Formats: sequence, C-alpha cells, structure tokens
Amino acid sequence: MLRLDEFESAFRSADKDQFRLARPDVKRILVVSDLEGEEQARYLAAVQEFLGVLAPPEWLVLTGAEYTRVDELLEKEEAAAPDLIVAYRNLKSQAWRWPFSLGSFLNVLTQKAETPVLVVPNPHEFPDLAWKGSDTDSVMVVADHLTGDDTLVNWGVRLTRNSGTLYLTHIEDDQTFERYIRTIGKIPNLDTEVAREEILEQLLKEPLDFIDTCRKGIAEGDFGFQVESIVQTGHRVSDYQALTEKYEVDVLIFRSQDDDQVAMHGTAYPLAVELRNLPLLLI
Amino acid sequence: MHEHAPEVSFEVTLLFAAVLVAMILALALEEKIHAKKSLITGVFAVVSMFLGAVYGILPLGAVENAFGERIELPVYIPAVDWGVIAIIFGSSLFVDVTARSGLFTWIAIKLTKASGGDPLKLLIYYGLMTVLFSAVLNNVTAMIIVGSLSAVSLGKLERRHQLLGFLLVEGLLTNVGGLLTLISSVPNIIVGQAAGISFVQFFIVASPYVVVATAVTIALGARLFDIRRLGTENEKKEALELVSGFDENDGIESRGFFYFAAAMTAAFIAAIATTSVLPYVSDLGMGFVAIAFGVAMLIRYKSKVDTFYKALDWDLLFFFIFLFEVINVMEHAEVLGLIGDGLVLLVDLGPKTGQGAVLVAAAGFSAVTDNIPLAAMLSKILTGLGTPGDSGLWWSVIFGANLGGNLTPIGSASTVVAVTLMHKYDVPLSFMRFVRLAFPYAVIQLVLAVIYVLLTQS
Repeated sequence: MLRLDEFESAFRSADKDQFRLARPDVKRILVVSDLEGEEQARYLAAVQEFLGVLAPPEWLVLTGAEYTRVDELLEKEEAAAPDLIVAYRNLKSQAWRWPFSLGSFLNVLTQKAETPVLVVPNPHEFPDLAWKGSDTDSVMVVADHLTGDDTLVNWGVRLTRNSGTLYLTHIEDDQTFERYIRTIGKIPNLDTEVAREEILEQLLKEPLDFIDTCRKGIAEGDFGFQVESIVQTGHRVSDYQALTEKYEVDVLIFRSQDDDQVAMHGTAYPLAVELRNLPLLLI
Repeated sequence: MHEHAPEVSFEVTLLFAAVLVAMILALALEEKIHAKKSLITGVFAVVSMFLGAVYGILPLGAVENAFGERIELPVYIPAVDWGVIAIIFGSSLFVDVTARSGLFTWIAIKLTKASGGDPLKLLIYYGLMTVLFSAVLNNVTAMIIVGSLSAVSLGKLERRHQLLGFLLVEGLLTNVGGLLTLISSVPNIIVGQAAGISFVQFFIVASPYVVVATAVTIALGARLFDIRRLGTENEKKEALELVSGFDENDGIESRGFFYFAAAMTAAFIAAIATTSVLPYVSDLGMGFVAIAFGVAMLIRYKSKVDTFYKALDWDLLFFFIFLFEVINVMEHAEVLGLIGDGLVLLVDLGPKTGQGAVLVAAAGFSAVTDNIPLAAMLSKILTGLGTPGDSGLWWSVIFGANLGGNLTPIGSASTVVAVTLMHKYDVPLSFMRFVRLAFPYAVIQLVLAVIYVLLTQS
C-alpha cells in the first residue's frame, strides 16, 4: 500500500531550487591593508591586476595609517559603502607567523560587514604576491551551502574570465555522514545498507540538480567560460585544498555566515584559516 | 454444496446480531481503541465462528465441487469471497509497482505546472485528478497522491492557508470518483459482483452523475473557501516561476519503465473493462486480471519482489477476509435475514420512495461505520431477497455506501487520509468541524444521487 510520506517525499524531491542569473554590480572596491609606501603601492597594483575582470571599478584604499582599531575600520568601511572589500589575514599583527587565525580585524570585518570580502594572501607572509599573476580564469564556488544559493554562484559568474572555467562544487562531509550511518546501524527498524545508499544518493542529487539549473541559467548569459560540477563525499577542508591544487584555482568562493549565528560557520572558518596562499571570496 | 444447516432460533439470531453490532461499533471506534481493523474483525470472526459451531448453525463437513466431487474443506475457506480479495490484492500490487515508475507523480506535476500556480485552476485540476485517480486506482491512493501534492505545492506557493479547502474538496471528491468505475471502490466491487454488473455498464450508469457531482463540489469549494484566480500579472508571473521549479521527470528512474507503466495502466483499465467479454478471461474473472497485471509489473523488480509483498496493506486484506467470515456466520445465524426484513420495510415504501430510502439509509450507516461491511451485508441481503441484477436497489446501495463517507471524517478511508494530512500540517479540524464543513457538499451530493438514481434506475 502506498504511504502518505512516499508521495510527499517524491513531490519534495521534485521541487527544485532554480538558479537566477544576476551578476553583482561592482562599482566600488575598498582595499584594506596595514602597509605604507612602496609596499602599499605594490599590493594595490597586485589587487587591481588580479581583479582586472571587474574593471573599471572605483578603487578606495585604507592603508595602515588610516585606522588603528576595529571600530575605526568598520566606520570607514561603512562610510565608503563598497561593493567588495579586499583585505588579508592578521592585519596590524605579527600573528601571520603562526597560521592559526584570521586576526581580529579580518574576523570582525567578515562577520560584521554586509559586503563580500576578498581575502588575499598576507603580503608579509607571501611577499612575492604570486597570486596577482593568476587572472581568475579558474574560479571555484564551494558549498555545503550551494543548493539554492544564487549569490555564491553569481559572484563566481562575475569573477570568471570568459576563457576560464567556473567550478561549482559540493563536498558532503563523509565523517558526519558515517556518524549518522553508524547511528542508523544501531536501530533495528532501519535497514543500514538501504539508508546508506538512498541517503547518499539524495544528498548528492540535490546539489547536482541545482548545478544543472545553474548551467541552464548561466547559459542564458552567453559567457565564454565553461561550467564544471564537482559533487562528491570527502573531508571538506583537505579535499578543497586538493581540488584547488588540482584545478589550479585562482579564487575560492564560499559563504562565511549563517543567518542564524554570528560566528563564521563550520566549514568556512577552517577554509579561511588554512588556505592561506589562495585568494578567497567570503560572502 | 454444504449440507443444509439446522433451523436457527430467534434468540440465537439476536445473540449473533449483538455480536455484529459490537463489531460495527468497534470498527467505528477503531481510533479510540487503538486497534487495527483486521484485528477487530479477526477477533469477531473467531468468536462468531466458535459460537456458530457451539450452536450448530454452521454447515460443517464435506463440500461438493464443480465436478461433483465431495472434498473436505474448512468452513472458513468458502466463506470468503476470494474474487473480491483477488481484485484488491492484484490492484494494490499493480498500483504499488506502477507508482515506482514515476507515472503518477509525472501526471500530478504536469497538471500543477499547467495551472501556472493559479489557485482556482489548481483546485479544478487537483479535483479532476482526484476523481480520475480514485476511479482508476482507488480512493485512498488518490487522496495520498493529490493530498500530498497539494500540501507541497501550496507550501511552495505560500498558500498553506488554503490547504483546508483543497484537502476537504479532494477528500470529498475521492468518494465521488470512487463511483466512476466498478473497481474504483471496494463497495462497488462487492455490490457489482453480487449484482452481476459489468465494468462498462457500471461506467455508463455512474459517469453522468460523477461529472455533475464533481463540477458542483469544486464550484462550491471555490466559493466557500474563497479560492479565486490570481488578479495581477505580477502575481501570475511569480506563481508561474514558483511552480516551474517542479521537475516532473525527477521520479522517473527509467524512461523505458515509465512508458511501460503507462501502457500497462491503459491495458489494465482496458482488460478490467472487457473482462466479461474476453474469451477464457471472463471465466477467470477480474481478480485474475488484477493479479496478472500485478505480477507482470513485478517482473521489472524481479530480484526484490519481496519488498512489494511487505508493502502490501495486509491489514486491509485480512480485514476483508475476516469480515467475510463474520458475514458468512451472520448469514447462517439468519442475522442478515433479520436486517433484510428491515430493508424490505424500506423497499415496501414504494418503488421510488423505497429506493431513495435505501440510498439515504445506506449513506447514514456508511457515515458512521465502514462502508465495506455495509456493502457486503446489503449485497448478501439483496441477493437473498432475489433482487434482479437490473434493480435500482443495487445502485441505491452503491451510491449510498460511497457518498455516506462524506458526512463524517471517519466515513471512508480516504477522508481519514485527508484528515491525517490536515493534522500533519497543523490545520485545525475537529470531528464536528469536519461535519459542519462537509455537510453542504454531502447533502448536495446525496440529493443529486437520489434524484439521479430515481430518474435513471427506477
């Protein structure tokens, strides 16, 4: 006999998030640093070169001399009302020597400011500014939050150069999944193998379905770049590290905030702290 | 044939009548006593058979088969109408496997998208779909499919506040759609088999009523629940965008199986409709056809057919089996004869009044208890009274037993599903509120049915 839940599940599964193409309008970029003089000029030039795809925006600069406290930085950011902020970890601190944090300025900025923050490698830690040469032709959108999140994908579309590749990715955390399966394995009424197979299939199907609608939406824009999907299980931080190396990713885009919490969400923080030599766009 | 049973005293008949009343009450209070239907009828089957043996009213002993051979057969085997059981078993199997093809969800989502998210169009399409699915599948399956789609799509359209109206109209339409064909509801199968009504004949008689009752029910639902068309172009555009997010192909695992299921569904309806004229098949009956199609569909899942056997509604199947046992004992205890005397009183009111009275009485009983035992009892009684197959009384029982379910939330299995869905989605609906809301629809449907039966079947 058919069950009530059977058809509800079927209809919920058939109800798919639809991607809507709406590339963000970037008119004003605020570049924050703790540098001065020639170092500052080199850094600004590197940022401008890297973000060439967004040209011609209005560039605003906040150098190290223009703020000393977090509240000052926030006030100036608010007054500038940028569409994008560029900053790096451990501003006005030597803590970049120990790769364990974002530093108080960037931490607060990413959580408090409404504007997306592009985190570039710290110029003290990586003085050669090697990332500037990469020209956003390989952009990866991360997401345990990808499904239904148009903003992330639209930023990916905005940043990817016409000849490049936009990777839409979803990694389902296998440790969490295994923990649930172990729990299911202790419940006699639930068939563990059926649960493993069907839950995993559904978990991966949802992002694949959404990516499919993204492809269709992006195709309407007639951009020159390719769209690739990567949907798999794994350990998020290490797998993203491996994927960014494998596909020579120039910028990794992910969401840093959840609507229901003030702290940076689970996967975002380790990614933001650990992928130190790669530009990251935190939204 | 069994040996003739001895004469039954009136006291013994009354004792068994009390057992029957107790069973009907227990079935009506099924929710309160937290017992499944099959257990309730099972307990009463055991008790009544034991009492039947004690009072010596059962035709125990050897029986004679069609070849004139005498064989030992337990009394509880021929007591069951296995033809009816076979139809329910085969149809359930067929519908369960066919559902896996994604065919029903495909139809449901296609209609949702065709509505463009307009509430009034949705109500009309879902109403028609409820009637169609009730007619072709069965009313519980129809309510499950259309009810769950209503909950999901109205949620998506941010119109959950209209869910009560949708579910109520759909619940009421399952019993209207259940009148469309001979296999649409169990009372139809039982009464149709007893009266010898063919599938085609049933459809020809019932369909005009179903069309009118459906239109009236939907129109009344739209009016009473204020379900209107969208006003502005902006609203229409927004609703269209929302429903276009549904993917009708999501549930289709294999295109081949999808087309096969669609073809088999059409073939199933055609075979059931023509069973009475198909050579050889007519001898085997509709139960054979239903089982044959169920088995044919299972071939697709040949290595895991056991999952479908497990998924069958064994509570329902054993409910019927035990119910037939009880009714068989009641027949031998002459309880059915006693009720038949009451029925004769109604029939004797006159050709038209009597027919109308039987319809209304059947509806009244069906509203407070299960319409299946009612249909089974009445068809046995009408058979016992020598009622000809073309008598309008059969139709009074069919219309009354089906439509009576719309008077209360426990009147039919499909309205129970509708109420379950309402509770699941926090739509407050007490027993009395259901009765109050459903009353105008049920009364109109019954009045139309009485007029229709009197006009066409007198």
